[in-house]
This record gives sequence, structure tokens and C-alpha cells, in this order.
Amino acid sequence: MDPKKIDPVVNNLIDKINSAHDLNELEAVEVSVLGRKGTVNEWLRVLKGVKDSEEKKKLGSTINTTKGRITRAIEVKRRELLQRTDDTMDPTLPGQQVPVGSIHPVSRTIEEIVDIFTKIGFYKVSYHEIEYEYFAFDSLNMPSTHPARDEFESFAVDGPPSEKFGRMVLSPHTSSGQVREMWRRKKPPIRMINVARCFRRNWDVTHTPMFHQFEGLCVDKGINITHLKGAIDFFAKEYFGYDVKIRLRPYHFQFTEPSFEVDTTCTICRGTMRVNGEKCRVCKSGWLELGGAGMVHPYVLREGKIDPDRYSGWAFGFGVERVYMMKYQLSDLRKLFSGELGLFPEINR
Amino acid sequence: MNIRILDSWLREYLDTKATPIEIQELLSLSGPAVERLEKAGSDHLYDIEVTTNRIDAASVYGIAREAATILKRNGIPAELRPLDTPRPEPDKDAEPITLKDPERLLDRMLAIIIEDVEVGESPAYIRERLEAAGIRALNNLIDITNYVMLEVGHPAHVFDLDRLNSRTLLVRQARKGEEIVTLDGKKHRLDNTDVVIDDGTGRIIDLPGIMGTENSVVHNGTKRILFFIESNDPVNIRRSSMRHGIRTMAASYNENSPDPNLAETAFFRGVALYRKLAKGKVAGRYQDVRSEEAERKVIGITLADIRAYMAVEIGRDEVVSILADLGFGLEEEKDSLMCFEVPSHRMNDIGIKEDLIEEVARIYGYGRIPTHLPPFAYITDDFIRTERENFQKENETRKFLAHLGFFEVHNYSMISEEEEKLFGTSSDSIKMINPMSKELVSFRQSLVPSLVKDARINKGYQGIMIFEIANTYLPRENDLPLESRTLGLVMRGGYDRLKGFVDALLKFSKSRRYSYRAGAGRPYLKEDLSAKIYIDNREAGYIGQVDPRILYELSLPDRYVVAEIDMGVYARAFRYLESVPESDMGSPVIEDITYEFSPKAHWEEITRGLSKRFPEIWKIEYVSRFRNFITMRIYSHPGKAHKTILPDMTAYLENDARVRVKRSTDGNNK
Repeated sequence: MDPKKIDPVVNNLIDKINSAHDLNELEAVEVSVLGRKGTVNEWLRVLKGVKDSEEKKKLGSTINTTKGRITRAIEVKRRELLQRTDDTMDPTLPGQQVPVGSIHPVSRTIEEIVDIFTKIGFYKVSYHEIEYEYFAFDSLNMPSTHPARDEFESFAVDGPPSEKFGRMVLSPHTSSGQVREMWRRKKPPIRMINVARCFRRNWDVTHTPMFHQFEGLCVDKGINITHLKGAIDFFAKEYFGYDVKIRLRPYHFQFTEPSFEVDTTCTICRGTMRVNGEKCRVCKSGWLELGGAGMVHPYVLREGKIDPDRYSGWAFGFGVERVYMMKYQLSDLRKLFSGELGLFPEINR
Repeated sequence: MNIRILDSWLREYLDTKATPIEIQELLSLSGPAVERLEKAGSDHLYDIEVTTNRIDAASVYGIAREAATILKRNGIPAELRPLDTPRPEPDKDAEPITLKDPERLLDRMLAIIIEDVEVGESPAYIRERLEAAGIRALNNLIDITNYVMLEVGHPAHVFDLDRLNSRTLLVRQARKGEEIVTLDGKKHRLDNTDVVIDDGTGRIIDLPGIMGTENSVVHNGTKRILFFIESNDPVNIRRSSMRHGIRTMAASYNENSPDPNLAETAFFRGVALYRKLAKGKVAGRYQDVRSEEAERKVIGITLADIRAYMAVEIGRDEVVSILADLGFGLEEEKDSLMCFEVPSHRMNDIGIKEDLIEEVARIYGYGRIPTHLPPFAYITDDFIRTERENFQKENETRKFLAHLGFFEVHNYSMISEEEEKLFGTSSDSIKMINPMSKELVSFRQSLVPSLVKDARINKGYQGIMIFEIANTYLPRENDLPLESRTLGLVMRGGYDRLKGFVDALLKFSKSRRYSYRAGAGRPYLKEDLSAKIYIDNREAGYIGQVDPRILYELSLPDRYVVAEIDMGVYARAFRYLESVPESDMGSPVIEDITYEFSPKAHWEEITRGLSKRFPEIWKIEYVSRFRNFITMRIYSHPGKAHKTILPDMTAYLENDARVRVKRSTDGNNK
């Protein structure tokens, strides 16, 4: 028997061993090679019949080495097959569980909002949550004696007051970032989206004392009402859908003139005022309130050290939770900040 | 503030065929918002939101005036019917009232004596209109003051003349400590910022513009009244009203500066009603004291200004016509500058040319103004760039953690003082002065108390893997607190588990180097099962097992591990891509060493020491841990000279690092 002929046979066998799908298959190969009637024993019988002592030695050595190789291959494969868990009989059973978490709806909404405005050249900043009175109110044309300050039932904070900027308060709105950004940039162009936590004294099913707002501020040469409409219309369409329209109604803020309240097409009934044949209970005549907006008041521009005769701007302030709720149903707003993981429906799937 | 007026009342002054729905729709688009339109029997009720700058619209007549202009501009014919306000002539003689205001605390005072009044129930239509507006009908004398306030838009007051001690009304500042009883029976202690009316004998008989006093109010036996309207300083009204907590409708009007000319209109109207409904007789001439001359205001604006704001080629005639409808007369027109006089009822609201633009634009119709995206401006600003990158990295981190199985929470920025004490987090934290709840008092300097609370709330779930990215608030001297972006994680289970995730998070950042040092030094952690985290040699945070004593207090039986990372440091070191180093050094030699743990030599120091001492080392991996024995796998390129540095490493460990080496083998376990 030619030793050289053993090699290809052995390689074949080793391939068979390595591709065994399970222990049964492996055992079958093992028996066929190493068993009483196996290949190796066949070779040994041939060896017995070899007369030449040189040849016998060589063949014997080859057979030995080969047997070693095969044995080792079988061992390795067996260990591998043992480690593998038993394959299932039902391919639709749940597999080995991999934990899947989730991002908070507020974080996701903020990401979407910033993404939309980035497309039209705006940048995100995050100004102070604990702010001085000056930036939160006075610079926005709301001195302490004005009734407009009533609406912002804000909280006082026990930090050291500033000689220039007054007492420390919790900012009730992101508008406190307007003059800050004007000072920071020093002059236009300004295309700010200020996203930050705000605080107000309301705690019920539709209000939490802490919430998030995003404030748009666009200051440049020749900015007018059309640009305010354009930016808000763009946001409404990108976020709610291309079929959504906006409308402006007169309102009043101390820091804008003219001031508007902005409505969008009702996201539930899509402006038809009917849902499943019944009257839409969510909207007012097919419209939903989005938030407040206006052209930046010259007083504020001056406080921002920007010349209102050369530049103009628009601003808006909308609630992050508000736009989220206009798109998704959430029965109780408090769930967003209560820490309950039930907020994520997928946790129970 | 909101006012509720009946459609039937409105139509006394608004002549139009427009339906209530049309009025609601069109008024809201160009003027005060009609928030709700309700059916009231055969009538309708408008619930209107009046903003603080439009006190002129907080009345039936004011709304009628707005509606007339707006309906007309929208193609629906409408006319404003005038208010019937005859100047009251006396029916008989009487000793006159003396009105004194030496300190000029009031802008205007109107007073008249009406005798022989018959106190009784107001007629049905008056009662209906008052009730619809949310005001209780009491008797005709009081009802007329409220009716006139709603109809004309200026508060009014009535005294029982016989309850006054003299015929003099003195307006003065209260003295500190002076007490009054308002007509709702409540006692108030005043000070010198409060303006009062004294009946000439030192006795306070009114808190003008806010609420009357018990001692001068009319009652069922009243025979003679003093009908009185004053024009107040809005700042005084607001201050006193807020301080004493007397928030009446009159105060809401007066703190927004109603037109003093309207005071006269309301006054004449009121007198007419007293005559008609209470059969009263005017005794003597009425008094009208004005401390200041009525001011005139003229504002100049060009057509170009208006066109620029609206981006509409509106014609000059249309602008003049709209403003004329609203009561703004064109005083003068020189070249392109038009000067308009502000009507007295808009004096408080209109001051700059932008205010005029708003008037034109809202009546023209905001819906007719075109829509254009704001021009794109390429802004190169390093601050903005860093903000953008940090925000993106934050979102990457959120996604990474969510994909690993963590749920994100948003906790309140404040915790209770009790929680602070339990965790020993901080005594110098910023606090709320008048918190809404005792749960929201102290601004967090660590996210851990909130996260452990979240773990407790959700202990029913199988695994707890929660994270939060929020600001912590660190007080600074003479400055606002530093709001520092922080990542906090909490996990139920052994220390090893969360450590694995933190390792992964650090690896994910592709920072140049990160390391740990045993002992985080935090009062709420088990010190010997905690470590500080360093990224690029900056202290970046820590990880540790929560002190079981704290968990016991919170009835949490399991083990919980927390970690906090400074997102500023993390983001700074975070890279998306890095340069790929040369690696033509060939296959490394792989050798395993098992050593015995000693508290004097942590993994961190041992591996750092080895790497420093043996530059041949490419990397060191942690293989396993069995009881006190730790196995490490060293990959090295010993170079041509030596075949292996294993004996040298072993010697180093025993002599320099002072750990007992149990066994060292080559990576193939030979």
C-alpha cells in the first residue's frame, strides 16, 4: 500500500469529521474509521502483509501519525458539538433573549426637532435653566410691575443675586436665551434653536412643573413676517405631515410686536373635524394650538445690543411635550417624568 | 383675562347679519380670540380671551368696535351703534361733594349724588347678562356698577352716601398698620403703598379700583348713593391687589390701564341706568377732577416700513382706511411719512411704529401674507460647532445604551431634602425658596438618588437597566450654578455586570485611553466595590455598588450598581474615527499568567506597570477570575533577541508588583 495514497483519503475523512452536524454523525464517522471494521484497522491488516522491513517501518509510522491526526480531529469536533446547545425542534419558539432598551420620547422628539431646523440652517444651543431675572423677564420687556409677569408663575431660587442681573429664578420659558444669544453672537446672522428645561407652577394630567421648550430666534437684515410663517410652516409639515397647514392669530407678548398664536391643522382629524364619523373631540374647528410667536420687539433687540433700525427678527416658543402629544396619544403627561418604565409599551412585549 | 358676553348684548352695539359662528371665526383671526362659543337658550355666549394690552376690548362695546371693523373688511356689512351717554343734568339741588387728591394718586375722579333710589332686584335682562359673564346679581345698585364695567370697559363704584361721615372724599396713602374690612368680610392690614379713600374723618371707606369696604357698601335700606368712578395708577393697583390677594375683576381691569376717557362714558351710562332702573334723582352737579391733561400721541410710519414687514404691496389708501376704521386719524402726510394720532382707548397699547404695523397687518389678514423660508446663512462659529458635536455624541451614546438594553428616563431636576440626607449627596445644593412640593426642593448634584428611586419604582420588572442624561447643578461663587451634562446609570445585579457595560461605553468612545482607580470616595457607595473613571487622564466619573444600608432604608433587597460619567469629559474624548496604526510586527507571542489578588495591587496598576516596564507588550487581556486568582493573557513581540519575556514578567510581578504568581503558561496551554 502506497503511503502517498493515504494522505488524500485522510484529508477526505478529516473534512467529513469537521462537517459533522451532530454527535450521531460524528460517531458514525468515528466508527467507520476507528472501529473494528474501520479504515485504520484495514490499513493495519495491509501493514501486516508488508515484507520489506524499511517499507514496513515507513508505513507504520505514517499510519500512526494519521491515526493521531484523525483522533485529534474527532476530539476537537466532539468538544465543539458538545458546547453547542441542542437545536430546537420548533423554529418559531423565542430565541435566546437579547435585552432591548429605548430612548425617552422627549429625547427623541428633541432630536427630531433639531434635525428639522438644522435642515434650514439653524443651530441648537441650551441656555440656563436657573437664570437671572434680567434675562428671564426684564430684557424681554417685562419689568416686575407688569401684569404680564403674573402668567409666569415662576419659582425663586436661593442662590446669590447679581447686582446687574437681579435675583436667581427658574426660567419659565426658553425666551430667556434670546438676549443671551444676541450678546454671544454680537451681531447677526442669528439662527438659534434654544432647547432647555423650563419650570412652571402647574401639576396635573396635562401639566408638569418641569417640561421642555424649544425657542427659535432668527435675526438678520430684512427679516419679516413671511420668514416667520415660512419657518413654522416648514417645521409643521416636516414634523406632522405635508398635509398640515398653519395659521397665525393676533396675540400679545411683551417681547414681540406683532405677536401671534400659531395653530396647526388638527393632527387627529386632519382638519376634517370628524373622526370615525363623530365630531373630533380634540380640536377647535379643525385647528390645534401649537404655541406663541412674533417679530422680535425693538426693545429686546436693543437690550441685545442690536440696532433695530438695521436688523429685524422673528421668534417662537413651542413646547416639546406639546408637539409630541399632538402626534402621539399619552393619557397622562406626568408619566413622562415619573420614572415608570411603563412609559415604554415595548417593555411588556 | 376672559370675558363672557351674550350675543344679544353684543348686537345692541353691533349691527350686522353675521352669524355668531362667523363672528367667532373672523374676530379670532384678526382680533381678540373667541375661545368658546356656547349656546345659551335661544341666545349665544362668547367666551373671549382679552390679552393684557387690549383692555379696550374687554367690554361689549370694545368687542363691537373690533367686530364692526373686522366683519366689514371680510365682506360682511357691519356698523357700530353708538353708546347712549347723555351728560347728567341735576334733578334737584344738593350740597356738593368735595374731592381731594393732594398727592395726585388718581388720574381722574368722577362723582355724583343720586337720591331717592329704590333698592330692588335688577330686571331680568341685566341679571342674565351679569350671570352669563360670571358675576352674581345682587341688587340693582351694585349690579349697575358691574353692568357698566362690562358694557363700557371701565370699573365703577357706588357708596351708600349716608354711611359716609362727611361730604369730603380724600384720596391718600394708607398708614402702616391701618386696617380695613373689605365688603367680602375679610380684614386686611395696609401700608403706605396702598392708596385709599378717606371720608374726611380719617376713616377709610374704599380701596379704590380694587374693592369697596364693608363700612360704606350699599344695602337694602339705602336711600342715597354716591356713584363714583376713578382712574387709577395701574402699578399701585397691581401691587396692592397682589399683595393682599384681592383679585377682583375691577383690579384685573385697572391694572391694565383702561382709558380715562372711558371713565366718563361709563359714568354717564351708569347715571342713566340709575335714573331708569332705580328711579334715582340726580342731586347737584357731578364732579370731574382730572389731575393731568389728556395726552396726545402721534406716530409716524412710512408705507415702505409696512410693506417691508408684511412683504405685501399694500396700497396707501388701504392702510389709511384700515387705521381710520380702528380710530387712528391721519394727522399729517409729508412725503412718504404718514402721521397717525392714536385714539384714547389705544393709548396704553400703541406706542411705536411696529404697533401700527400690527394693526394694519391683523386687519389685512395674516392669512394673506405670503410664506417664505428664512434666508440661509452660513454661520461659522466654534461654540456652535462644539454644541452640535456634543449633542450628536450624546445622541450616539443614547442609542448605544438603548441597543444594549437600557431604558432612558427623564427625572425632575430637584430631589427632596430627605433623599439628599439619605444619600449624603450634598449640603450646599441650590434650593427652591418656595417649592411646589417637598419632593422638588434641592437641585441635583448627582443623578444617583433619582436613579435609585426609579429602580425602586420599577422593581417589579425582571432586569433593571436605566440611564439618564441630564444637568447637575454645581453652585458657583457669585455666579449662576454650573449646569453640567451628566450621564447616570443604574443596574440591578452584581458589580461586574454594570462594569462590563461601562467598559463597553468607554470602548465605544474610542478615546485614546481610559482607566480605573479603586475607591470612588462617594458616601452612598460601598467604597471597596467602587472605582473612579479616568478618560484621557481626566477624572470622568465613577462606578460603584450602592451602600446596602441605603437600599435597606428604601426596602430594596437586591444589589444595585450605579455609575456617573461627566458627559463633557466623555464627549471631549469621544471620536468617531481614528487613524489606523501600522502593524507589521507579525504574530505576537501569547502567554497567560495567573496571580493572586492583593489589595495593595489592583489590576489597573499591575497592567499599567507591566506595559511600562516591557515595551514589547502589545496588549494585556483579562481572561478569568477564580476565587482570588486572576488570569491575564499577554500578547507581546519579544523581538529577535529573546524568544519570550515570560520569565522577566514573572520576576517583575513577584518582586516589583509584589503579587504571588501561581502559574504562567503559553497561550496554547503547553
